[in-house]
Order: sequence, then structure tokens, then C-alpha cells
Amino acid sequence: MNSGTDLGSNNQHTNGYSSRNILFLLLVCCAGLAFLVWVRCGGAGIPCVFHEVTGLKCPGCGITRMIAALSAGDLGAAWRANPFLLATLPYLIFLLAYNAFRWVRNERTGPKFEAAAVVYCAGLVIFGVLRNLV
Amino acid sequence: MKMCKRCGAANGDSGKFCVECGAPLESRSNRNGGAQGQSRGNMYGGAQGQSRGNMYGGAQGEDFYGGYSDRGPDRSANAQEEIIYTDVAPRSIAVSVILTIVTCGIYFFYWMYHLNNEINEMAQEPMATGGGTVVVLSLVTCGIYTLYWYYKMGERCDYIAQTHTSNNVLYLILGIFGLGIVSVALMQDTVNRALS
Repeated sequence: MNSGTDLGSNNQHTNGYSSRNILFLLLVCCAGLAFLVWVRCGGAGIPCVFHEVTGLKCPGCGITRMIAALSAGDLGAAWRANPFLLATLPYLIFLLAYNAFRWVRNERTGPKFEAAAVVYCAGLVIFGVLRNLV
Repeated sequence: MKMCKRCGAANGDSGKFCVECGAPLESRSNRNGGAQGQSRGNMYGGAQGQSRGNMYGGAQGEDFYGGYSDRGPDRSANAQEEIIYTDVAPRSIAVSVILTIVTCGIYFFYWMYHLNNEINEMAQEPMATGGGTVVVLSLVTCGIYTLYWYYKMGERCDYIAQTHTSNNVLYLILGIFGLGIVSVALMQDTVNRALS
């Protein structure tokens, strides 16, 4: 085990967490919060290449509006923006949080997690097709 | 005494793998005219390489020489050596797709940046365009450059995978139809397979 003062090439401390990765995630969260504030104050969202090119809605279409509605407590608007993501929000949060946790520890996720992620992806794809047909 | 590059543990001189975390102790970049740097920052114009302390795969004794004699340095003498890419690790395609969708495509540029550098390294093209330049050009040209990038990456993936399929055309067509995420997922699959 390296000593507490020796950061090594991966910025690892003795408890196995990569401080660099933690910092990166914190920055991302801050950026996300800033973007939410920006959108709630009437700012524009992120333009979507897929929507511009095809005119279709991808599985994630409306996620910005959904999160903005949730932050205002408006479940109805959040549901209209993106029903699949709203319905599977706990599962999605689990997938992202667990992946982030393992990433911060410089560990890889196992095949069971991979299967869980693939199942979610399949759900996303099916929703993406259905929402453009209905 | 060898220090493990991943966890910093002290290991004996004769060990090949770290007794604490299992990472390989011998690290060699692939043969790129003597490039020694393990950090991606050395090869690609000072861009900050992401440290990847996770599993290190390696193509087991594959000889990339056959059929591509114009490419890169002469590797016939190295045919028996194991190629270990110390900076390249497999990436979960499913999680990357989810992250791309959830971040309205911002993660896509992160993915593009790293895939570009990883594929360039694995295809023996260290002087190819760096990831940062690729991302900037994609944004500045509203995706036109990205179509070209799909084509070039497809060529390199064909080289890495040692197949005679036309991934370059496939990725380009997918990109034209707005399905660039599929192209990138296929590229990642090529990299993952080459590392396993």
C-alpha cells in the first residue's frame, strides 16, 4: 500500500479512491446544476443534431424539460416531456451512481451490471421507436 | 523492487503482476518509433490524459504485420512480443450510450475524444489528429468533419480488427443518417474486442 503522501501516477490515496475522478464528477455535477438554473431562468437548452437531421425524437428527448419540471415540482409536465425516463428514474440513478462509484475507485463493473445496463439500453431503444410511432 | 503503476504497492523484482491489485507490472507502449510516454498527454499535443487504473488487456501475440506492409514501423521482429496498451481500457458500451442520451450528447464528445486517441494508438498512428482537435472541428463544422472522422476511424478499426470488412463505409453511412452513436458504439466494440 502506498503511503498517504505518495499520490502515485493515478492520484490515488490509500483508501483506493481517485481524487482526480472525484473532482471531475464534482465539476460535472456543478455544471449540471448551473445548466438547470440557466434553463429555469429561461435560457435555451442544448440543440440536438439527431432531431435536426431526422426530425425524430430520440429516447432522451425532453430530458432537460423533464428535469426542469421536476425541480419545479410539476410531475405532469415532467411526464409529458419524457415518460420513460421519469418512470425509470430510480433505476437510471442507480445505474449512473453505481457506475460512478466504481469509476471513482478505479474498478471495473462486472457482467451483472453490464447486463442491467444493456437491459436499460434496450428499453431506451424500444421507447425511442414507440414514441415516434404513436 | 518494482512499484505498481496503478496502486503504488511495492512488488518484488521478479513479479509480473502486482500482488495488491493485479495490474501488470511491465508496461510497454506499442511500437511507435520509440515513444516512451504512458500518458496520452505526451502524444497528443499536451491534452490531459485520463488515468485509467482499471484492467489492462492486451492483444496476445497478434501480428499486425500481415497484409498491411505499408503501415508504421517494421514489426516483424516484434511478432512474438505481447502488446500491452497501458492507457487503453475497455469501456462499457451500454453505459456510454445511456450517458450520451442522458447528457443530450455532451458525453458523446468525451467518448469521441478518448476513442479517437485510443484507436489512433492501437492502429499505430500516433501522429494522427488528436482528440481535442477532432472535437473542436466537429463542433465548428456542425458535424461535417465528424462524417470524415467516422470514415477514418472505420479504416483504423478495420486495421485493428484485422478484418476485410468496410467499417469505414458503414460508419460514414450511419453518420449521414444521424446514427453516429451507433458508429461510435461499433468503434468501441472493436477496441473492447482487441483488448480482450
